Amino acid sequence: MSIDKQGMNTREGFKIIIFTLTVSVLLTLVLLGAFASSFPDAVTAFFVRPLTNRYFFGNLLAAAIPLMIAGLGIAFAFSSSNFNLGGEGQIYAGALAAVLAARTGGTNPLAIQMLALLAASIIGAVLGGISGLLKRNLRVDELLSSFLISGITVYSVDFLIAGPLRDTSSNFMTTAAIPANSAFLKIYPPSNLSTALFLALAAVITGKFIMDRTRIGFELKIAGANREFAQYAGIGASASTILPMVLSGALHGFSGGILIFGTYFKAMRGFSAGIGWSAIAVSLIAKNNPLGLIPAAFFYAYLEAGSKSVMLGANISSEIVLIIQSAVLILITATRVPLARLVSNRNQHKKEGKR
Amino acid sequence: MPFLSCKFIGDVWKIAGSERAGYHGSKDSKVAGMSYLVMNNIRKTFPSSGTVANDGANLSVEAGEIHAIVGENGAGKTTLMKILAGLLEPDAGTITIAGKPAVFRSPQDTKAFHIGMVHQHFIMVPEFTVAENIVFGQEPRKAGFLFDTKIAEKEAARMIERFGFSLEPDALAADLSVSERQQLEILRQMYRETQLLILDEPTAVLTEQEIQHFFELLKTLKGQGITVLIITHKIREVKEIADRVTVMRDGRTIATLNTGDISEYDLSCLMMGSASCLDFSARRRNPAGARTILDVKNLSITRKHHSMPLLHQVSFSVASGEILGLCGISGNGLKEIEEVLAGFLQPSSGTLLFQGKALPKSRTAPWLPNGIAYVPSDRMKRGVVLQKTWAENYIALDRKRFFPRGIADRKSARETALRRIQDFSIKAQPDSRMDELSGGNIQKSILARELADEVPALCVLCEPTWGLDSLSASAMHEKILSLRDSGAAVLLISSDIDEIMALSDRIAVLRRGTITAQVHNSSDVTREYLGALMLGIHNEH
Repeated sequence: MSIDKQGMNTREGFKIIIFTLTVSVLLTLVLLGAFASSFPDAVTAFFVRPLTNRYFFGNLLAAAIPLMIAGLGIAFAFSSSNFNLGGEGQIYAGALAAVLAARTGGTNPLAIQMLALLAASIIGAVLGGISGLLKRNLRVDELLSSFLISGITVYSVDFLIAGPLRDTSSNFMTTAAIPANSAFLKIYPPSNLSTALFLALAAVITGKFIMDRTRIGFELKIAGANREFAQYAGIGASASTILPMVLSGALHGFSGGILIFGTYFKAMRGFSAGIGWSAIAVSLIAKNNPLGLIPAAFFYAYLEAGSKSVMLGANISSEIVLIIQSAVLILITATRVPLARLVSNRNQHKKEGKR
Repeated sequence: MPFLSCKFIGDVWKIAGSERAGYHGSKDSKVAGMSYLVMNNIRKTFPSSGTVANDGANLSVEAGEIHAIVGENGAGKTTLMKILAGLLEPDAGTITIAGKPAVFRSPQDTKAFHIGMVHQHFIMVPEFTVAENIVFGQEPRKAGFLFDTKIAEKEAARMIERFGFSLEPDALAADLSVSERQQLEILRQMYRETQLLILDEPTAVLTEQEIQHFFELLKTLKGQGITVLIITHKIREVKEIADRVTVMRDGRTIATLNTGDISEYDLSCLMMGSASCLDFSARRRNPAGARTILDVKNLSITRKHHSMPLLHQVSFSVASGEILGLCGISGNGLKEIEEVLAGFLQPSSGTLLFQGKALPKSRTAPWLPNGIAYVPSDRMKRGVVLQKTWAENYIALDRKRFFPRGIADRKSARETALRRIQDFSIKAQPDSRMDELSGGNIQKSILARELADEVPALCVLCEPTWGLDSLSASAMHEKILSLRDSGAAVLLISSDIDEIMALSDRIAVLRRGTITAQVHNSSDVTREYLGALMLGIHNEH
């Protein structure tokens, strides 16, 4: 019995992912070939070093952590047909909230962590929840409202970091750091990889369980598939609009907090920019399946690590990764139909050839 | 005065007057010794659910005839027609049209053969006008790329004139009634010069009066040289309109016959594949000592900027052990009553009492206290989630039971689903996706979910046998009667006069948002009498 069965598109979806990965790797090779002074060096730097170099590999894994958690937030929203485009602001605000909460004067590291992550989740949940409320009560499109609220949030947090909350002893636009003993343990020095990895994996597995085995997850998916049926079945509008947006916001905020305790220790201006958008891409690659987030996040982080490495090793602009990431996004969202036709036509020819 | 307001009769005159055919159909396409369309040994399986939809299906159709395809639900009619329309690829078999072999990989490939299909569930852009929907995909262009609204509307007006419809080219598709949408679909096909028109259960959505109107249209099409393939399971209609009929059963074609050569009884036996052709007759009851279960008083729904309310002072009641049949032509308030009872629409005024208490604002599942069994008329949108499996659809309404302590009980979900599928003899597996099922099997699935468990106090059944074949419809009627006999109050909302007359203890007629008549069902109540009431030809009773 597969209550979680995604339908007959699962296999097709898998083919599309393979296709996307192949094309993006080929595209990378073409770009490296066109711009690198030494093609073999560039290829090694892009594809091999992130995996063999201890520092790069650890940072690759560390970069995947917020993508998994925020990606889970996106998956919850998307699978219930709510579009949370406010991830950027929710992560940024969550990170700031985590710093502030961590600096309230506690001494027990565990207590500081829990308080700070809770604060981060709450601020994210509130930001997401506003869009959910606006959607339920005023029929405001959550796609627009979450995006606009995120814009306001990002500028507000920028202002706070540069203004009232700025650590004046630093030359950078940054807040003061969290207490040093409260940071997560580094598990793979010299890289930034910390115990947060286990938190992220646990979050994703819990997310998978919630989505496939629990009543809440079932209701979210039903509401995502057919809102009118959901109402007919007695699934309330709050459950299908506010709850997923709150959950999604909370997970984004949480990932902002994780960034602080795992990697950055203080909120610098614009430090989390782009993670929200990458999380959307990661969730799209994973087709909103929580377990799929793990490889998707690693793949995305791998591309980024590769581009950083190639920038250092082969003197190529790291902007190359933007081109590849855009290509991945376009392919993953747009190849469904053409590829399916391609494959079925090929099968048809094969069959005809046999006859 | 009521005669003047009867739009429908006016439409019939227009259709009848539209026989002046100025159409140049390519009738010369027939090749000597071979039928216009030949489908040979078609086979189609759906591997994901293991369903064999077609196996050994053969069809031959002559140019310019009206050819009916009949069969029970899941007999493979729609699948075979979808293959012909290029929507599905057959696993095996050949198609020949006008002597030329035809291989369809997509609906585009059928264009060259002038094949078009009107689906059971209309496909149109609601935000577009009638004209835009008609020309959509083959729009007239200004300067090569700009959409030319003027020519489009002129073309649309010409098409509407040709078939004697009363559509307005600039009306929004969303505002059209069901029968007008069907007209729009047919116009769209004709605009594309379709020569072989496939209609999937076209009369299922129409009222009795609209069906007669529709038959006139079919004759007009035939007069203009169009070949019509019509999927149906209403035997009376086959005899009335089709020249020939092909019977399908279990995915294969059983026989092709001239409709003049076979009786309705023999045809239904062929369809069901057994001699047990049920002659259904209702056991009427006049309950004594029954309690009023649903009491609706002075229900009104007004609209802003409209002087005519959608519902005006509607009052009726349903008692336990009684079936109240509510009938009317679409657009006269049946839909609104359904919406109010289901909690999708809040009335402007009036009281709704359910077992003496105010009706809950949103519907409660039938097995819960104060629950209502509700079969919606819009089954595809409201009744099921097409992208989910049968089991998921089944457990969606009883989440408390299948998610004890919030966690899914998959084993019991699967077992219960399997049992229901068997009880209601539905052609599906618990893992089948809903959109793999035929329309009739989907309707059965909804009924299985709503009517399976204990007897609910109130059943609101909207078009409950819509799309069901005669065997399943009879079984469903038996089920509704047995619910009534075990004490349920049944509100039957249907545009099928035969069904209303066969099942109801009392009948209420809704016209222009008010109840114009409430009568006890007796032998005095005839189809003609009810039809006249629905049309408002006379108001006394």
